[in-house]
Amino acid sequence: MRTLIRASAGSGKTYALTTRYLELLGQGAEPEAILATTFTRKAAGEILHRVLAMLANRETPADQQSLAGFCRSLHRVNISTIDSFMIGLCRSLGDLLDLPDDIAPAAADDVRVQAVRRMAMDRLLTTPDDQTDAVVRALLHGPASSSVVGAIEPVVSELHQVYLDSREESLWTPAPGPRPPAPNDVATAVAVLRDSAGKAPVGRQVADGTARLADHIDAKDWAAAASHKLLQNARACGTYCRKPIPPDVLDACAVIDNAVHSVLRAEWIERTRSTYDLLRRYDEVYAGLAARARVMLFSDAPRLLAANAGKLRPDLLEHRTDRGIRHMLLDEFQDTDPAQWAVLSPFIHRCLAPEAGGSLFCVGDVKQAIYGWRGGSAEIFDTLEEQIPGVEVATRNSSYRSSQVVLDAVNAVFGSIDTATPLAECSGDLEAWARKFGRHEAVKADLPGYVALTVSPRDEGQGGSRVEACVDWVRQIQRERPDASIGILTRTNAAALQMLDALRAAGVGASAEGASALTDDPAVELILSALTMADHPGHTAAAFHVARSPLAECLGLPPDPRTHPGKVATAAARLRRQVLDHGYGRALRPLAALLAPHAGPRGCRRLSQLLIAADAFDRAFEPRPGAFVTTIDEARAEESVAAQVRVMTIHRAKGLEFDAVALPDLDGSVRGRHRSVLTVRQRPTDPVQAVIMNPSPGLRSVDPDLDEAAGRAQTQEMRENLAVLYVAMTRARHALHMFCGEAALGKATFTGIVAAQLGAEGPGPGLAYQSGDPEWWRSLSADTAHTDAAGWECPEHIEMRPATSAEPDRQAAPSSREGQWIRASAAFSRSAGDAQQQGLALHACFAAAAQMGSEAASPAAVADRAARIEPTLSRTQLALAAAQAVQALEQPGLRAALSPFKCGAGQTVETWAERDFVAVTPEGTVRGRFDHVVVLKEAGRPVRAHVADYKTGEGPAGAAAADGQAQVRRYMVALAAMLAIPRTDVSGALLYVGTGEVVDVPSGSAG
Amino acid sequence: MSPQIIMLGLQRPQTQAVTDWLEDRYVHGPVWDMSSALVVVSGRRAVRRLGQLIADRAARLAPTGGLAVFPPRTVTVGALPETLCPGLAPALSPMASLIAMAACLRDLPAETLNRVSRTHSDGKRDLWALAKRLCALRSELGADLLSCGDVARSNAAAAGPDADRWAALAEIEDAYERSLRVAGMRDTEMARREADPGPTDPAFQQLVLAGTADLRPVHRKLLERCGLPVTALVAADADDAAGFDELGCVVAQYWLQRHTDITADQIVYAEAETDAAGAVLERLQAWGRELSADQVTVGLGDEASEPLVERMLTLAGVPVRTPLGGPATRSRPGALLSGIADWLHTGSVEALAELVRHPDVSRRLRRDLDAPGDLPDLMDRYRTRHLPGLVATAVEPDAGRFKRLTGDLRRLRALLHRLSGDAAPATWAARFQGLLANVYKDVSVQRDQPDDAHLLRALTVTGSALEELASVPATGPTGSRVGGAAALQLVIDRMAAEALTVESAEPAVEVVGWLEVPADDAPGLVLLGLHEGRIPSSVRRDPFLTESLRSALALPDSDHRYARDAHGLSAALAGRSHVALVCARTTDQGDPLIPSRFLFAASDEEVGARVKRFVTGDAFRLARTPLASSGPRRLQMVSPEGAPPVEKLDPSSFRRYLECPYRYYLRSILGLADARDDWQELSPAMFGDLAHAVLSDLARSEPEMRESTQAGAIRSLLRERLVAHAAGQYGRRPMGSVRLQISQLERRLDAFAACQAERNAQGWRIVPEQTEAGLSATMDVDGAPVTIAGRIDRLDHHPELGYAVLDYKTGKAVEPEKAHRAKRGGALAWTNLQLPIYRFLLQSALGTAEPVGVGYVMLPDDPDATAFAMAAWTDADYASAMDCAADVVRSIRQGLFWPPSTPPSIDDGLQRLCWDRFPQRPAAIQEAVPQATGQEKQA
Repeated sequence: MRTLIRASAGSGKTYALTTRYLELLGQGAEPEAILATTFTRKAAGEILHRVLAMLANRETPADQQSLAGFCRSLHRVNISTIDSFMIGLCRSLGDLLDLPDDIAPAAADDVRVQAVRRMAMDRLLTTPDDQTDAVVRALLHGPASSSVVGAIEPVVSELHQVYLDSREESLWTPAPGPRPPAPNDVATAVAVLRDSAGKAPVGRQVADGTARLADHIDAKDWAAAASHKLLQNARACGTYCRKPIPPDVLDACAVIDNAVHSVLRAEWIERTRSTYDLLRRYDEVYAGLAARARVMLFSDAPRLLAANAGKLRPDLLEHRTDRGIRHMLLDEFQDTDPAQWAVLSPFIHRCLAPEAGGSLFCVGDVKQAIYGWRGGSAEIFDTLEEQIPGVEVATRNSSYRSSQVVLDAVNAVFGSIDTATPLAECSGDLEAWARKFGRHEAVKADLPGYVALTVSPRDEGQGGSRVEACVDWVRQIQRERPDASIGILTRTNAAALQMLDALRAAGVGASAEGASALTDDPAVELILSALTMADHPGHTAAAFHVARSPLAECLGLPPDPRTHPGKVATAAARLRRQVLDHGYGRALRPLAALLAPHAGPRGCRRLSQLLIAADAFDRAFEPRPGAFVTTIDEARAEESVAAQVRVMTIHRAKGLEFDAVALPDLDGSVRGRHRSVLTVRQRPTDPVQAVIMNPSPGLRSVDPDLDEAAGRAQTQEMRENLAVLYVAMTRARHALHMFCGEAALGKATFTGIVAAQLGAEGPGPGLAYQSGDPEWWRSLSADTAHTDAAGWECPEHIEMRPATSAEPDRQAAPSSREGQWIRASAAFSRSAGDAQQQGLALHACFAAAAQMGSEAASPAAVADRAARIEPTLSRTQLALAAAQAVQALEQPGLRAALSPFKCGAGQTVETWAERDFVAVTPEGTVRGRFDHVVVLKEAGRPVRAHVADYKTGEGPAGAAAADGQAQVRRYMVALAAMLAIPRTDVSGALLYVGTGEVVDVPSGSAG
Repeated sequence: MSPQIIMLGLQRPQTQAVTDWLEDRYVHGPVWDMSSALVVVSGRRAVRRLGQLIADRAARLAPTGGLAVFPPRTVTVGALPETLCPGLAPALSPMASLIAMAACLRDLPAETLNRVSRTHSDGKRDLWALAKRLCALRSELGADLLSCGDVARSNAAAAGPDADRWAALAEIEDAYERSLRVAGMRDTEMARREADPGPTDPAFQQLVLAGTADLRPVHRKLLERCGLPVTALVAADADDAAGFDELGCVVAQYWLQRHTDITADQIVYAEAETDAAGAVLERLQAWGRELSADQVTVGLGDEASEPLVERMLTLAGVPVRTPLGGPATRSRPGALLSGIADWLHTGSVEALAELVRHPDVSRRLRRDLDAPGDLPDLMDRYRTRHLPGLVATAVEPDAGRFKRLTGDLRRLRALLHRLSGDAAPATWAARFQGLLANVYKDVSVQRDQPDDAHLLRALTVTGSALEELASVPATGPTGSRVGGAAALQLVIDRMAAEALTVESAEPAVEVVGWLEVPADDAPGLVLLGLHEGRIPSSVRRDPFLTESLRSALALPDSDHRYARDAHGLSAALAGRSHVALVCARTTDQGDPLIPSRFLFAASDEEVGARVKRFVTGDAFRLARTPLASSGPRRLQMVSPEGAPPVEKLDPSSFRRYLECPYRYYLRSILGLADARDDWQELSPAMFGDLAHAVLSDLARSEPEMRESTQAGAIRSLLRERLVAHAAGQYGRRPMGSVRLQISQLERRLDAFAACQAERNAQGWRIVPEQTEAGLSATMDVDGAPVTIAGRIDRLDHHPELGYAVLDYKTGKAVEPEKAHRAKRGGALAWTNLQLPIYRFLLQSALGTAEPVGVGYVMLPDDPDATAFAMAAWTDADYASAMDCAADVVRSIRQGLFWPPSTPPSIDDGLQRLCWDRFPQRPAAIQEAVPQATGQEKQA
């Protein structure tokens, strides 16, 4: 089965894909054999959830079994984003792609990616490097800008991805322009122009023209010359100001045209090459830093895979990925980019091979192809029919979402888009768009609907009245139908923010998605000031800000920090230390808690988001607080609760729907922005053939090839913008209200086109168009009600039962020394490590000697036995310790301390060496290890005991001697408790094995 | 002797049931002696918990003492081989193995390596990364007593498309092992795979496997050879006996079919991850009457959610302990070593700036110097003045103001000395230890203080890593010399693998990773993150050991993980009085999550209901987070206070006040300043200052030069002065961007030279004595004098046209009129008084009757727009400007600094203080009523 579905908005793409998935399961396909991809995680999850829901809604035992089987295979289900699929492939093929094992994929706006980019730009520009100098110098040939970063940064941020798609130098090396005419010929041509300007028959206008053109050439203003009408007309029609251009002027123009063309093209080639060189150098730095940070972009995955396509044999892919994919279900296919296609294509062909018995099900809508800016190529979708022989194409234009009124407006705008007056000059380019557009029909014919276009007066300033009109409409709906969902969709984040501010100022509770800066609250700013001060103690503005806030006391800042720089430095160092000790998340928590009572509900939400961001930042571990501040300054955060009125960009709204949609930001041109570079491909699925800088108007006018290439790009951009308009209009279930400024009418703007197509270019400001029921909400059924169950209100403090007294964790070790100061360097210093090792070795050797008793004659034997006790110690260490132990044991005092009891009649002696114990004493449970214990028993019952503790450090005069005695006393208490004998019957001693000294610890003092 | 299996049942938590068994088995009268037993448990936490339970049990058995308790030796599965058979140790440490592997790779032909990994685009290969990857592979195979050679020879690999790669891996492994054998060395894998484990430690008479459901062949081999009686304690009912093999390890097929013990009422679906953490709080509140904090454990399927849970609990006032800990690199010693590595790698001033901010370094330097801790500030000032890039090419901070910085940096460099070049690993260890000893030599800590304990633990881990480096044999394949940065990286990598867990005795909710949950025995359990890939965990995609290869080689595969976790879940639920299993539907970003298979491992009839509940049922949602405030915002902008006396003002004060009185107050009255050091290039002000310096030199040059009508001559002088000033300020080899900016400035100066020559030709002459000269004059405002003092950039004189006061402008080419006045409410209003004030100063200073014009020397980015732009103001205009100046003086005197104006478009360092980004700023300004402001006084 090979199916390609062209599914218009709201026509049930996901439903179709899910149904197909269930069909395959029903036919016995294993979940791991079905790959279903889409573009967002949300959409992938929706597909999975729908599959689950549809299976769960079936009632027969066979269906129940099928659901149970599917649930058992959840880990093998291949429903994912295309990014995730590609990343999985990269992980499996890491060795072939030169990827580290622990590489982490990240989105372009991820903090780690941003940090790497910043660092790369920094390194590129700050490290002295003659080659980079030369490249940048070449790019700075225009104005003598005082900012190099300002000139370079936009180039790099816009074009790095383009470079990654086309790294070959040859792709950035355009063919040279025409050979320039000899200087003399140009001089002669200029003379002809000047000469003709003085001649009467050419007329005043022509004379002015020839003189101006000559001036441009003399001033070497090639761009102005290229755009000069005389030169253009000389090339095109031979007339100027409706008069024929004299032959000698025509000849001169031809020479000048050639000169202009060759100069401008040479400059353009140089700019292309310089741009390439800059990008290459930047990428070298970036790639190194990204590899060090173990970060890769999601978009890098298909690129890497496509670049290594030759090595990725199908059998290898199948083996490495453990995926015998036989069925492919591809959603939103119009957004596939060429690299992704290069990776998917072999899988598709393998599935469709006769022996595979597989299938392809592809769903998409080129009318919704709005991701061209990130590489998506809707044309790939169009070429599928050629590439997949026998593919069946189906079209779905019935909408389950929108009312017919809304769809009629969509039909009116797009059904004959090629005839839209404002787009008359590119009707040819849009003819295919219009031809493929099928009339949209509402499945639910009785859905109430309303469409309107309101025009605001020309002198509205910054779009103020459009915004006001939009706010009024939203308020009206909220008043009449508070449960209706409303989407306010804009083209830019800035416009979304403007709308959000206006709504809030009007008292409308709205949430913005992806538009708000995390720093837009004073509470967050205060914490950032504290961190700024931590990084820059000389930033007195930051210190002052904090000093006059609820944070001052906690940070130890005086009210006037300017006069106490020492205190600021101390506070800054303390905060830096807390960040290093606990991470940003934990270090900032007490500050946020201090601010919360002062911050208000909104501030608290923002503080919560700041703490989340801090926890995330901790994964990167950047010790300098300034790095955190920079990241947060650039961070955006969603409103934590999506309100009934949601403001977002149209791109974000893809996949969503609302009862009512307002479009207040459609006055921009559909011709789109100016791209810096153009990528040229023979066919959409082919690799890039060339990358060229977008030619200037001047160069375009003298270079027809470049003009055509730039024109193609412009058309492409326009199609994508029309897709944006289509997506925006089709988000509405019932009501769609568009707002435009009068100035946008009649032009190739979004609203200009809408107005023209709806016949709404009427007389001045006001409601220019409406259809349907303006009170559409009245006939809205109750089930549209947007009901949100109230969530759980977490109390400020959660009470739990107090802990019971007998806490196991309170068990103490005899050697614990609470409250004692120790040197930090003891934890790592070589001598400390050695001493610790020596101690371990000596303990092991004494234990070994005790175990061996009289056998312990030779140090070698002791060392052998000790090796079993402490296997991690080296033989050399043990041999040295064994020699020392044997020597020590020869000393009478020490021997006596180890054998304190003489057995009488009926008495026995038991010795414990290096023995772990647990003792329950009246003071609590004690756990530890005895070095050496001797128990005297009578009739098998303990009557006396002696505990000896080895000390390998300094002698009894040392500073630790008192600690040692206290420790032995605790051992004695424990021993008495274990043996159930009076404490007075337990003796103890400290054995200084280095000096052979023995210090008795009296029994009476035990406890 | 065949092992004995004991089914502990599911009535009690696993670790408690193990304790019961140990009591039954080993208590004899007044002695509970388990010292002959080696108890093997699943993880470190289980070791600790079993010890605690034994002590607890001892207290219960003999509350007044009288019981001699000798606990068993308890180890994790990982430590079993070397504990049981001491003969297996010592093998090479992992660090030494890595060094040996890297050395081996260096000696192998490129063709062999090409079969295993590709080179970078520059033809180079990261041998350390490859060595790490191969060591990890050996370690994973080693647990199953396999080598790469074994895999290469297996049917699964030999017949597959990766056969050649496995053959190459086997060759590399052979070469590596050969190099070790020649040197008389062996690594852990060789020791475990090949060597005779030697005799078992005689201290052990009994081996107890307590909840170790996942033993690998290396353990099985040892158990077989040791000859000790083995008892496997299995936390399961007898009905599930078929689910375990003879050592109590799970039988995958059994657990794949078995339904879980989860009941529907234990499942909590939450909307998103934060809601899921909120569900933990909700459960704690619900259980709070019956359970104390230390009686609840929170298990995490995804340890990355630890900060979220910890944050929520802490903010809700619930004591929480998270023994999971972060990697040891996230610590003060970790940051110090990473900073040094960065310094060694880049040699940049930026790396040095990071080091001077390290609290331990700055404390060390401060102590040496006995000076205030302003090194970061000094460094900021130095960087702002000189914009150094690399330390090697930076301007020496030896001028007077940076003298102290020089001393500090010298000390810092002394700390870092001897870190360059190649040396043996042990030598590096000694050097790093010396450095740390120097930094921490006077630091004392208290073990029981949480912060100190964290530092101490971090230093201990650092010490262990350094010890490991120090113990790398100096001969054989590990004897090669390495660079300081590479050696440091080995230490850092080793630290990254170690978690900084700090124990605490305070009763608290404990947050543990999923693998530790089965051995936990708190009565209450909230298990968070029941999602596929977490619980059950999945095998990570691996370019070497694919799922099918794992299955073919009987390595742990997904089915094995499922079985292990299914049994783990069953054990985790055993004997708990309170259980909640939380599964979020989506991430906090709204991306759906895949639920755990365990949630649906029920009867066919039950599955449908559970799936429906997951997909469409109510999900827990948090309406109010712990960090919430129901009250209104009480934070306010800092109010200006008082009316300062105004005795002296400079010409730009007027502009600053007119732009925003509040910012003027902060900047000029309070004297607040910003600071930064992230300079990528000269700021516009620095660029302007450099231009000023060069142009001043022209004004002060000999008459034949400054009055020259030859553009070339002027250009030469300007270029020469530019080179000299730039070198003095930014060094002979400044940052790349600065070099480019200097050349941009040169282009502007070239254009200026032509303009200047033309001006000279017009008869204008620079008045050198008034160039950059300080001028002051007194202005009488309401009978009180105020001194205006300023410095004009340049004064020109023309015998017929009089004087021209000129100000250099390197910013946008804006005419004086536009730069000074704007339309406000339909009328022109002064926004800047700089040029009129200059004129006032000059007229006061010279007392001249000649006309005095004012204007800009514009050196904009478009060299063609370079020009002398004179203001065309009339006397009335100047008079109105001075009136405006008097108004400003009055306003300042009255303390009129409120309200703030619209924020500037760029960050001036005051944006946080001025709430510039707060959408409700206008309302906040209206709300705030500054105390004792001029408005009130006026009223």
